Formats: sequence, structure tokens, C-alpha cells
Amino acid sequence: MTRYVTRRLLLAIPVLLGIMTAVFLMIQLIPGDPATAMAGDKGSVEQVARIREELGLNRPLPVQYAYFLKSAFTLNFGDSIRTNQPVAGELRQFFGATIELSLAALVIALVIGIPAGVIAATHRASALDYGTMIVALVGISTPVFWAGIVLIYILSFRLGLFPISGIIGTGIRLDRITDAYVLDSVLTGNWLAFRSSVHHLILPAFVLSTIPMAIIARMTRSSMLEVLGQDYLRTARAKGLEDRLVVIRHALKNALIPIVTAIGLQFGSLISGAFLTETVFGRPGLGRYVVQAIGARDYPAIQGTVLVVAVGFVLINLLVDVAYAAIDPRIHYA
Amino acid sequence: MSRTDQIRGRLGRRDLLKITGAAAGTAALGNLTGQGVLPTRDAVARQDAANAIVFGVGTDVDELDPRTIDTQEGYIACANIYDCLVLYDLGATTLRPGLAESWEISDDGLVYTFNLRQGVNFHDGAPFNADAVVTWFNSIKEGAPGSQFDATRMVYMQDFISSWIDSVEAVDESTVRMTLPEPYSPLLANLAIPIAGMVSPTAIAAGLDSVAVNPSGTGAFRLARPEDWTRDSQLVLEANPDYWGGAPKVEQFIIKVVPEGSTRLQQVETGELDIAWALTPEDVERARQNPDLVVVEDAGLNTNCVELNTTKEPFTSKEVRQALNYAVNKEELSEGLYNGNMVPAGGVLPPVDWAYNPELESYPYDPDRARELLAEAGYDEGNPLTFTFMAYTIPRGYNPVGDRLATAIQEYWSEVGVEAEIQTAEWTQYRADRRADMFQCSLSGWQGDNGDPDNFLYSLLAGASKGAGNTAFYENPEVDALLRQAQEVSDQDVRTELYQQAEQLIVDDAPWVFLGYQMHQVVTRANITDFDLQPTYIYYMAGVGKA
Repeated sequence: MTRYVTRRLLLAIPVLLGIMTAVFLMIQLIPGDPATAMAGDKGSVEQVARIREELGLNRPLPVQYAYFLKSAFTLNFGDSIRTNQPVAGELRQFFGATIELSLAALVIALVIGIPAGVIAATHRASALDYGTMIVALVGISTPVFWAGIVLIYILSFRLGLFPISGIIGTGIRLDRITDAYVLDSVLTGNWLAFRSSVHHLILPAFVLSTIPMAIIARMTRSSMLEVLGQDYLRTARAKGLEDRLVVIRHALKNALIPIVTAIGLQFGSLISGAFLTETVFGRPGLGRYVVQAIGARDYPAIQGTVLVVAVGFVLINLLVDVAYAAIDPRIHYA
Repeated sequence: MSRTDQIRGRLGRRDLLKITGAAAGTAALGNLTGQGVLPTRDAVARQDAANAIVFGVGTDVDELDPRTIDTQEGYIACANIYDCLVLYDLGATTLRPGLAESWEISDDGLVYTFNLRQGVNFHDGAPFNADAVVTWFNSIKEGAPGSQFDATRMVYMQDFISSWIDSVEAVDESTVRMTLPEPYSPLLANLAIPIAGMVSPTAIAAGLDSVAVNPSGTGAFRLARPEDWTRDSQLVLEANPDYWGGAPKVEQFIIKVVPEGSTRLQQVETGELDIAWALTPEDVERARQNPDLVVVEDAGLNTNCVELNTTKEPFTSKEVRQALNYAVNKEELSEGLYNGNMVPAGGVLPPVDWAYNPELESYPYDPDRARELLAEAGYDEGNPLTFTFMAYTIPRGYNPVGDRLATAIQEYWSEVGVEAEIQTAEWTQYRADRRADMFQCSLSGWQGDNGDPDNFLYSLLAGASKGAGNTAFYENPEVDALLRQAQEVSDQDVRTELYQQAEQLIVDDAPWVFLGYQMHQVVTRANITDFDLQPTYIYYMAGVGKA
């Protein structure tokens, strides 16, 4: 197991190297560079040239690439060009909020998605089944930003149930430790901040959860259907086990492997969905940070964010693979 | 994996279920124990001081050091944390005393002497005096003792302040003298731009990166603790009770980041925001229907135009350039394309500028006159005027509809027999190509920086600005002489006269198709009092109240 994990982690290095190279080449392809962005609409040609020199953008591309890799591997991305603050600190600041949102969405997706899939499977071809799957289809097909705007309009603006935008109430002071707002308000025992940040989190987390929830529900249903036809379930029933226990203990447990894979993949889409959700709901986070960084051609900030997200993605996938072994004792990693 | 491991694994998963269940339960409980089943939106959305003004913007402030800010949001924050030696009159482009109570300009225009306000302290307690001004200036001047000049971060500083001043010296405790390399009367207006806010010498000593997040000025509001700025979320500023201009009317001024324009409107409608900024014309129209809201508006300090490259055929012909002006119906354009939010233009300077000339003779909509002029220039149905018309695609402050403007103008021109072929380019490339003299005819525009007419007329149409702001590559020696003279005299009446003469000559030469000025609109709650629309899009909040 340890060997397997080590090997997987080592394999992650070429993957990350490939991602970083792709990012480097892509940002070179966008028209304009940090110098033109910093000089602004009115900056002179001389100013642009001078900034380019100061930032080392006039060095040959391979040299810039070498510096780029060095900064990536030492995790010292330098200062953001847009805000002049160290990128590492900014990433830390925004990472907590994005992870909190993504995890909250994942929890909602699982808590609703798995039971929905199980119910659909056990009531196959009934109105309940069709109803659940139609809702799931709508969930998969609805873009996050659209669902967000519609729900804000109805639930927040019209009905006044949720705040319209933001991550915490205006003017609330919260000492930040992890920069995950709900967690920090618990850690600092700040009841007002806790209530406000949870209330600000519900709607965006729900919106973000819709697509993974729908995918998980559909995946659970099809995986359950496959398992429900197996002989050992008939045996379980034959020995007089209660139907509920048969479904949960015998069927669901065996149906979990493809679901876990789906969850791992969905976590990636949760992160990218969080980028849109953050903008629609006006929440600070990695997504809005990188969008603004791209606008300003803020190379250090872009590369830092991409690396953090890529590492996160690799780790989640590894976690999923390791989880297989925990779920299915037949799986061994040597 | 052993059997005990399996059991342990299962227990682990069960524990996990319990934990997640508990977490979800806690969250639900948090809501249920609120007021009723769910606390209302308003109970959690605003916890600021009852007497606070929340100002909604689309993008966060970039930094809080006026020496390095380069976004409008940064200007708004710094205009309230810092004071400049001179300030803009409320709602105008003219100037009033700021940290300097008065000033004298030598007859040759080379020496500016400022008499400083006494008894003023920075937020960190350091006294404001002549030495503080000298420390500030040296910090932005390349090569000066104690310089913190950074070419990558002080682009605007160099353009507007440091390249126009050789040195600043303290005459006594409350008098400073600035020496200029050449006479340059727009300097006073430049000194009122928030980038010229006076920074505490103690803060300056801590370095650029520190001031960016630990501001200390003399302004009406201050950042009490660095944590009060939550990036991409909110910047909470506290009133400075010792403000030299009198304590602000509200306890807090909060800049709240709300990226979506339509969300900003919803929030000002529900009262989550007091003031919403940068809204689309459609959203402003909706706000107009709401009795709880007030639309504060005026023609903006900007100009929207089509540039005709005067060095390239067919625009070397003045008749052609004038004909294209007569052919466009600006009033209809304003109504149809901009919901009436563009004030049709006769010339270059917008009505909010102090040198605006209401008597300017320009080009009313007259397609027959356009056809006549085209015929004089040798174009008719058999030999139509054809050229390439370049358009940018993104919305600009002076033209929120992007390249749809080009399509509309193309229509007008085709009615008088002109065949313009539209081509578009990505903004950064567009800007670079336009400066490199690669365009024949192109959409253009300008957002004013300091309210001085020089910032429009000299920057955009002087021979010396060709390839920089002057991308019509227009040059008229008579205009250049007037503009140069207006930089050398400091009397505002004399300058107004010179600028109006120059503008009339420019309009006659028609290097542009003059279109209009986009409205500057801010939506406030009806209970917000004394909010002045500042033409340079900064807002002084010291006198703004809440009923």
C-alpha cells in the first residue's frame, strides 16, 4: 500500500510538470502581457518596454521557462503583479473559502444524491424512478451560473430567505485562522459570524452541488440496479433479512465502487464550478482570484493557482484509488 | 488488508457518517434556532454600524497605497483615506484647498509654493508638515534620496506627478516649494488625483508592500485594523473623528465587492447596499422606477468618437472627414443604442469640464450636406467612398455597447453612399496597432484623468501626442501653439479662452467623428444625503450622510 502510494505520488510529478508547461505556453499565447496590462490603456511604448525589462519578460522564452519552473518547484511564486502581495499568502487566503464551498457542495450532493439513486433503483420503472431521474437530468443540464441567478432572484431577492451576495454579513468582524469562514467562526467561537457565514453558504453550496448530485444519483441508480439482480441478494433475502438491510448492507455497499470513482471525478468539476459560483454569489475564492489574475496577465498568480488546483486534483484521485481498497477488500495494490 | 482492518475500515466509515450527520445537523440547528425557521436575509446580511454607508463595486480595491494604485476602486478608497494638497470642488473639475490652504505660482510658472494646513495628523499619529511632503515626494521620484520609485508600479505617478516636478523642498514647518522643469499648469489638477494623496512618513518608512495593506493618511476614513479589509469581499473603513474637514457624518464607509452588476442593483433595492456603482443602462432604468432609489447622474468626463487617420487616404481630405460627421445622427444614436444615456457631442470636451464651450459650432445631422461634401471630394454613386473601419469588441466606459456602435455608424454612412467595411480586433492588439499607425479609421474614446482640458485636448490631439493618445495622427501648428500656451499660463480664464479656440479649430478640421459623452450614473438609496457625483469617478464621502 505504502509503495503504491509512493509510486503514485512520484508519478504525479511528470503530470504536474506537463500541466505547468501547458500553462506556461498558454499564457504566452494570450495577446498582451503583464507589462501592457500594468501600463494601462494610456501607458507609453517606453513605459511598456521598461516594465517588460523589469519583470524579465524580454528574456528568451526558455530562460523564462526555467525561472517559471524554479518558482513552481520552490513554491515561491513571488509577488502578484496585480496586488503586489506574495502569491503564496493570497492562495492560502482564498483556498480555504473555495474548499469550504466545494466540500459543502459535495456533502449536499452525497446526502441527497445517493439516497435518491437508491430509491430510484429500488422502485425501478415506477413514477418515483422516472421522477427522480428527470430531476437528475435537469440537474445535469442546468449551468451553475444560470441556476445561481434564478435561485438568487427567487429565494433571496423575492422571498428574502438568503443573502443576495457575499460570504459573510457586511461589517461582521471575524478573526481568520484557516480562511474557511464557517470553520473560523467555530474555532473563534464567533456565533454571529457562524450564523451569517452558514447562511451565506447554503445557497451557493446547493447550486454548486446540483450537477454532481445528479450525476451521483444516476450513477447510484445504475450501479444499484446491476447489484440488485445478483444471486447473493436473493440469498440474503431468502435467509429472511429485512428488505431495508438487504439494500443498505448488501446492495449499496457493493454498488459503491463506481460511485466513489464518480465522486473523485466530480470533485474536479466542483472546483471549476466553484469558480463560476464564486462570481455569481460574490464570494472571495481561488476562482475569482484566478479570473482577475488572467485579466491582469498576472503570471505568478495564474501559475500558483493552477499548481495548487492541479495538486489538489492529483491528490483527490489518489485518495479515490486508495478508497477502493478500503471499500472492496478484493482490491490489492502492490 | 486483514479482517480487523476491514472492521476498522467499516467503523471508520460509520464514524464518518456520524460526523457528517452531526455537521449537517449543527448547520440546520444554527438556522432553526435563529429567528423563526430561517433567520431573515436582513438579519445576517448587514451587521455594520447602523450609521454606515455600504458602497457596492464590481472588483476589489487593488491596494491602499495611493502611490501605486491603478484601478478606479483603488482611487475611490484612497480618495477617502488620504488627502491631496489640492482637492476637487464637490461635483466639479475645478479645485479647492486640501492639505494646502493656499498656493502661489511664480510668474514664470516654474515654482509652486504651498502653504500647508497646520495641526493635521496622519492616522498613525505622525504630524503632517513640510517634511512629510518632502518625504512623500522623494519616495516617488526616481533617484531622489529615500526614493522608492518602481517603474512597474508607479506608471501613473510618473505620467501625472513625478515627471513634472524636479524637486520639493521645505521652506519652513508649514511651507513647501515645488520646482518644475518647465511651466505646466495642469500640474495642480494632477495633484488632486487620489494618486497624489499624502502618505504618513512612518508608513512610507515601512516600504511599498506594507503601505499597500496598512494605509495611513489624513483622510476622513481610516482602516482601523488590517483585518478589516477582507480581500474580494469587503473593506470596512472607520470614520476619523479628528478629520480636519470636520468629522464624517457616518461611522463607517464600507466598500463591498459584488461582481455582478445586476446583483448590485438587487442589493441596493433590498438595502444590503446604500450605493451601487457601475450599472448597465438597463439596470439604471429599472432603478429609476423604484421610489426607494435615486439615480444620481451627469454627462461623464469622457468622450466617444471615431478616429479618422488624417495621414492616410481618403481622410487626408477635410471634406471627407466633415461629410462623415454630418452623416451621423447622434441624437438617434443616443436613444436607440444607449437608452438615451449618451449626451450627443459637438466637440471634444464634455460638459462637466471647466473649459466646455456651449457655443461650439459643430456638425448637426445633415445627410444632404454630407453628400455635397463627398461630391466635392470626388465621390459619388459611380465612385463610392470605401475604407476599412476598425472596431474593438469589448464594452468600454465611454461606449458600453462595444462594436455594435460600429455597425450603427456603418448604417448611417451607407445612407450617404459610403461603404465602410468593419473589422474587429482583440482589445490589447487593437490598442497597439492603433498606436502603430496601422488603422485608417477606428472606434476610439477617452476617459478623463484629472478634469483638466489639457488631459483631453493636448493628450489626444496635439502633434506631440501622435502615436500615444493622438491616434488620428492629427497635427495643426495653430492648435499646437494654443495648447502649449495654455500649459504655460496659470490663469483659468485665460486658459479657458485658449482651449475653446483650440477646440473650435479641431472641430473644423474634423479629425474625429464626434459622437458623445456617456452618462456617469450612480444609484443610491433615497435616504443617502449630499452624495456628489465627482466627474473623475472618485467620491468624497466625508460629507455624505444617511437620513
